[in-house]
Amino acid sequence: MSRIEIGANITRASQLGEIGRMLEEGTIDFVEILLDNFLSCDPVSIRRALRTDNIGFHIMRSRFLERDEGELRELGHRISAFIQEIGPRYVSDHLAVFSSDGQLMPMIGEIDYDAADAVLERCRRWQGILGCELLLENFPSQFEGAAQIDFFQALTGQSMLGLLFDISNAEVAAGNGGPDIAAWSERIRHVRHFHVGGFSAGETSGILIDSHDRPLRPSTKQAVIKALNWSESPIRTLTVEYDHDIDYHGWTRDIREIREGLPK
Amino acid sequence: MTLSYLLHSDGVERGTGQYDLSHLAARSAWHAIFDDLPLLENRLADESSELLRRFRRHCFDSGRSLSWSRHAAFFDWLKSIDCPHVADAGIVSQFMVAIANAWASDHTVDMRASHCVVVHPACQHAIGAQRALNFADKVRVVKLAVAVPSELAIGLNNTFGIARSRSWSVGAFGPVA
Repeated sequence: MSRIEIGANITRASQLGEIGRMLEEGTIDFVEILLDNFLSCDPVSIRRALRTDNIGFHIMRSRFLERDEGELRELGHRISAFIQEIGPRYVSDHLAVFSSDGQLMPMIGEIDYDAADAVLERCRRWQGILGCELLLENFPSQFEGAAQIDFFQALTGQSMLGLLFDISNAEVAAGNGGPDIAAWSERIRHVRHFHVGGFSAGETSGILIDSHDRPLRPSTKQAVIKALNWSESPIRTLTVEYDHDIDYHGWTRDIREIREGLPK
Repeated sequence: MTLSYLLHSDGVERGTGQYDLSHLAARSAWHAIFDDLPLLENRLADESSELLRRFRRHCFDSGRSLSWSRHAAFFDWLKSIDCPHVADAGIVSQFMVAIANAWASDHTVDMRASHCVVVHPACQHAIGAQRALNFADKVRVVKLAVAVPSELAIGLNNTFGIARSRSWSVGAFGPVA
């Protein structure tokens, strides 16, 4: 018996009304919190505000590959307090570069997969600090593509870290010259947690950009069904992400369409 | 591969992926600076994008990182190029709001503090910000009639100071260990 739960992400308190409504109406089964934006809160207040225990934690700006060890420990200690209080379904983070030669960038960049050993060591340390299984999200590759799949094989194989498979990121990577999403099929056999979001195209080059600012493309919805079928995990979660210019009607419609397309 | 195209777009060829990404990064940087500075944006009108392009290039060349204190760095740079608008009291006040708001919105710095007060030597008031203490709360930014003593504030740059604490009590302000 397999079950797929669908969730939506919350990135700021002003979304609470709409996300609460999606939960009440049964549009979503769980909520994924972008924890970075709520770290100053009393962890107890999360359950009170959302009125659900079905919660996932996503982290965006831990910058665990770059951050000073002392700061990282302090951040990890803070996040751990939330993990202890809430007991989230999963804890996930981004494998990305946030600075160039020490200067913070306004957007994240893809890591250098040639430096895999050093990256893996930092991933293991961050997981150790958090004290729970850490899932890392695949990157919406703009120029690299193929190297990432091998890297994630090493990451999940040797390090006991997990993969949070972002289906639209894989579609973006494929559209930018990387391997077809089917190249991930073996890698995600044991994956339990998935993401999907809308993406846009660059104005002059057509490069695909993981923008989370629009509804899903029909091709993405088809990719969702494929990817969820590649996973053999009995219970899977799928978070449908929307971060900017949110159209709640379109978001809800996307979630309902995905749910209707899932195997019964 | 160098990611410098995300820090400035000078010399990046139109029609390439790097060009589109560099412009997206520039747009993101514009909002990070100007969303809390409506008065300055209004005065600059069409010049805001070009001014920001020059500022970002200056930061890149001088190795300056644009963190939560980016507005203080921007203010310094505007003074250095003799921008007349930085003498405007209303604009200075908005810079104080922007600094306080950016600090309170970045939960990964000064994690033991929940409140900050931003001061300016020529201002009779201070701006305070309180981070969200509960999940449903938003950042609260207020004008404070009584500033914390300036000696408790850490100099952010040549102009602004900031004090961080665990409460609004003036006596509590100071560096958070």
